[in-house]
Amino acid sequence: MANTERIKKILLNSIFEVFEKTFFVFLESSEKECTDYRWFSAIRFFGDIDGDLKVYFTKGIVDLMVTNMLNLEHGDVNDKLREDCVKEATNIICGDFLRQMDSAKVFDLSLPSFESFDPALDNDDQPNRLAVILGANEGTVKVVLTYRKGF
Amino acid sequence: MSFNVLIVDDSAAMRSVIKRVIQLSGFKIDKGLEAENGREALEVLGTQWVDVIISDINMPEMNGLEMLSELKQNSLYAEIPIIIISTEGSEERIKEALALGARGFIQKPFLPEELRAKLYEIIGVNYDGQYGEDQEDSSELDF
Repeated sequence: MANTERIKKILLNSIFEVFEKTFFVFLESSEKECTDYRWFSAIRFFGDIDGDLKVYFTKGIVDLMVTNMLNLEHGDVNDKLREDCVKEATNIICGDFLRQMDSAKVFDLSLPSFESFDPALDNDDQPNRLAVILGANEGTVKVVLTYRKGF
Repeated sequence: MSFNVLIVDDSAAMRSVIKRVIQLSGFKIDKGLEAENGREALEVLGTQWVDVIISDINMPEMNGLEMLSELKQNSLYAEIPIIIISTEGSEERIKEALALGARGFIQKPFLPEELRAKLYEIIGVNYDGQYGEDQEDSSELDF
């Protein structure tokens, strides 16, 4: 299996696992690009390989994550809870992905950021960039991995 | 028998989930204490008796490993059982946490059953065998 395919498979596994175990959300891979991402979270990792992981979320998927994770009613969801869940999702996906890539390697992770989505920041011209899009009925998630030096 | 638990995680949502898992597992919590990072946890420990600590690693101000190191050097706190729940799961990191005194290491994402089993292993004497007051016994925790 080519290295890029292996990385993509592991990344998808991590995303599915995190959404199912932590947020009880069952995603499916999608080829369709989404235009209404509302927020994104980014985390950097440092070690033998340096890079970053950005995760873009629509409002629908974030609200589903919050209500499922915290067993809340839809009306109880607020921006603070949305930020918390988005950052935690990004943190766990990144850690799980790196562990599945090579559990013998030690990585340091930054604290995840949380920002409003700006399409201008989604630059797909970078080398060593891998993007996957996943969706559920309630919304869409896009995960972009960028790394310097190869895995 | 109930116990005091200190949950250390910079995510309020994750602290809430961990607390709920403990309660649904039948462990009776007297005081469910919370801290956003290792520094806050040390402050809580200065004012409250704690039976078990459940902590993340990647946190601002003082991370979980730094907190473990501080606790290990203090005879008052060195024997408090600590379970790490973290995204950081490299073999080296797990060894480091255990060497610093952690009694268990659970990797995120985790299943409620993993935390229940680890708590039972560490503080099993407090486990009453029930899954909440109104629930029947089950092999899985129902969220």
